[in-house]
Amino acid sequence: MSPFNRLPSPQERGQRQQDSSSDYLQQARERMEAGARQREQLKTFMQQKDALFGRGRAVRKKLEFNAQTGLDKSKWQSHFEGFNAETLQIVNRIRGNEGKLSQPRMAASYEQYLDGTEQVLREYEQNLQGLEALLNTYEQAVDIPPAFRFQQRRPPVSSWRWETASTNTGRPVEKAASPAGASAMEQSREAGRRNLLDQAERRIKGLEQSWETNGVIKLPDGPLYDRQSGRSLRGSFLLEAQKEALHRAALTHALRVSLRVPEASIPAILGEPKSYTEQPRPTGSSRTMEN
Amino acid sequence: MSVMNIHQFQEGFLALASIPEDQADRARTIAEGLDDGQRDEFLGKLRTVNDQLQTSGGQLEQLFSEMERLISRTERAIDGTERSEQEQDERSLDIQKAEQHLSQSAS
Repeated sequence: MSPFNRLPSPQERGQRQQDSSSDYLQQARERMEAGARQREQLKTFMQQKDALFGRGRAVRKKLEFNAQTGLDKSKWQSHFEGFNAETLQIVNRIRGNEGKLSQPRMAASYEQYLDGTEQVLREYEQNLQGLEALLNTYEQAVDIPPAFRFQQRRPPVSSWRWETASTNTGRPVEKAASPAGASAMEQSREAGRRNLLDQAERRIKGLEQSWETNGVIKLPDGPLYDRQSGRSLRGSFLLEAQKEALHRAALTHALRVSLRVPEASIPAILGEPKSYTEQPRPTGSSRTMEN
Repeated sequence: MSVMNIHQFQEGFLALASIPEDQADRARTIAEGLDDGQRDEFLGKLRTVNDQLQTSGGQLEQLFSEMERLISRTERAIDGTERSEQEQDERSLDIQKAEQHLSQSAS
């Protein structure tokens, strides 16, 4: 056989090239199909990831709540802010790239993290419960009124209907005896109102005690004043009406912040402010009207 | 048995920074109603709880650091997959062109 006979004909060469190219393309197609399968898996992962981040958000919310009740606020707050911003960024980025991720193992890592966090949170809550139990025991021992002891477990105050009691001072006073036929519920509400005012007064007293070194109360958004002398930090004296208004502001703050009374219920609890319109203006150089 | 007046209690209580604010308020109120002996015992118990809260708080902080590292790793992974996706799209285009060329050659 002539050596020339062993050489492929141009047709054969073309066929071989065609076959080789087809093989290459077949492999490429297989790779693409594998990629498509992987993308399908990733879509599932993305759904899982959304659920995980939802759970993560719930954990963070809980953590934030605990941080709000804790004293180490500044530290936690900055941590949470950074954490939230970063997490939000990553969630947005992941959503923008849905179907493109190839890291299903990340789900396991997030799961592990969340499990760990929830476990530590449970420990933290158990510790808090231990603290609650300790405080409850001591509160019973020192005979603190039950409503003060269990203030966080009371029914929401917003569900109560307050009577506007004309105390004329804005201070807690004994209400006149209930008229004949008044329901037990009304008496209970009135007792609740007096109890809350009593608590608010005690909170203010607590504030005064803790700041007794400088004798100054700082209202959250209000002026600074000295409860004993009525002197504001600007050096002039406050009229009785202004002192009363400041006292009501302090009570309002205590009711709203410490006792968590809804804003709308506070006026009825405080009662009508005392009217000073008919009182004589104070005389003497040391008592001047504030502008 | 040691005794503790209210000022000593307040001073000692200041160090218990892991006790949440609401409970701290209640503890201060309780302390006012206790006698000097009870107050000392009460502060001791509060210290124990404070230590426990501090421990779990520290663990939570550690978990946060781990989560931050995980986020960084995830970001790097996303960068990688974005690049890989781009390359895959380019390859896909090449295959399409080759297929067109082959079908033209075959015909």
